[in-house]
Amino acid sequence: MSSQSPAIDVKGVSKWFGSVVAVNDVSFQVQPGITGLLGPNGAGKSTILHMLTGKASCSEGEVTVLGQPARGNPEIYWSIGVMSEHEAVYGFYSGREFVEFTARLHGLDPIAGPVDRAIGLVGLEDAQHRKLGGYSRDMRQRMRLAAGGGPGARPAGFGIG
Amino acid sequence: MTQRTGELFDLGYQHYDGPREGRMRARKAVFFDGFRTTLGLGRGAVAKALPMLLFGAAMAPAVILALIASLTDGLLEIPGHPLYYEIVSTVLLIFAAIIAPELLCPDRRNGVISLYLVRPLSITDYLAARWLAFFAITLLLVYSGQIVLLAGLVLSAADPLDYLQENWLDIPRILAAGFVLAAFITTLPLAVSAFTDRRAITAAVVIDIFIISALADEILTECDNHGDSGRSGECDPITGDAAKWFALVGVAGVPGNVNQIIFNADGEGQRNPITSELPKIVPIGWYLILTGGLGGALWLRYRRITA
Repeated sequence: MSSQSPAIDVKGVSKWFGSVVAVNDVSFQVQPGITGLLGPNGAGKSTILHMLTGKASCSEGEVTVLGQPARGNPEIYWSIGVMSEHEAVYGFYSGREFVEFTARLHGLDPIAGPVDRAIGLVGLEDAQHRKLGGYSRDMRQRMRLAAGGGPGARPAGFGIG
Repeated sequence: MTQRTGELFDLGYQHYDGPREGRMRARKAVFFDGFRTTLGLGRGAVAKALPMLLFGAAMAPAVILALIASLTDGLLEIPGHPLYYEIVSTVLLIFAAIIAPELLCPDRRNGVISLYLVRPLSITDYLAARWLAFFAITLLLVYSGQIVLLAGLVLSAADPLDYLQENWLDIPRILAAGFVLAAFITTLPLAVSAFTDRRAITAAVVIDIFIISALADEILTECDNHGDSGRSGECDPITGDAAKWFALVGVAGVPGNVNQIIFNADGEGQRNPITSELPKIVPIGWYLILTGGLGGALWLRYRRITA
């Protein structure tokens, strides 16, 4: 991707919930690479990330990711990986089964290679066949990272905290 | 003041450029996950016990009837295919009320729904895959029972080939009636599950709907003549001519009324013969309105939840 084409383009975005304004007329562009979004509690970081990942609509303005609208566009998830703070997992799945399941959700076939790489990336090869319910919080987060951004997504990932 | 510096570690991330099967692959993944969840596959013994118990309870009447037919060489007349659906419908309703919410409620309660919403799936894909997963299991259940019963009837006949030639229409009727029953039994509990995160509440509401509507049906269509134990004889309903309409109130009888039309059964297995006084389009239309309406409510509720 060229530097002229931003990975994320946010234009005049506002979001309000009833009479509460969560985000007010925000515009920015994010180029490929690693970017962090910092701010105090209540600044609207999570709301912006929810809009960037299509999980929330904008009250006003427009968000595009990789040149496509983020909201109401399931096809965008072929290209991005999302790992949210509050997302749960199925405790009865083993770590590997969980990553395989999400790889299938991403339409990958065959899945073995990408799943091996994703689990290797987070260093959980030895624990991959244990049930997620028995993982520590840290291990669960790492396996979720493998599932969220590892197997299928291009390097346009979001971590929502 | 010292200046802090950060360091980025390259862990060797590789993005996937291989083939993708498209959204159908994702839909299939949700479907098979729903299938496994419903039957408790890949989980502990407790998760498997209830579905297996209910599965056995739904199959038991067919096995018993088939055994009776084969042991008596067809001399004893046993209930046929239309009545089988009536017999198992109560077990199926309990099965659906308890098991179907497992497909939707925990995903919302535990936040797993987010997992699906950030994958290449629309909420319609998710719901359709979940619905189809439970529908497939219910269909398998009702067809299995009917196949066992059919086998029993065929094998107990003096001439099995003659029996099949005379009753071949039962096969498409079984397929159609099973489809009608399974679609209704799938849609109702899933629609109720969309409005609560608790499985137990869904199960209680669904069972209450059946009990209360059945009671209302009974009261509104009760025969004035108390000496008449059933509706098969002469009956003068206390609500008069309107009784045939009130007979539609019983939710459990909604697919049953359509099944009777499919089997063209005038007497056998009729839960509510009084509805036969209505034009055939009325029970069929009522079934379609109720099933379609519940499906629509489910979809609209999820659209709202994920908006």
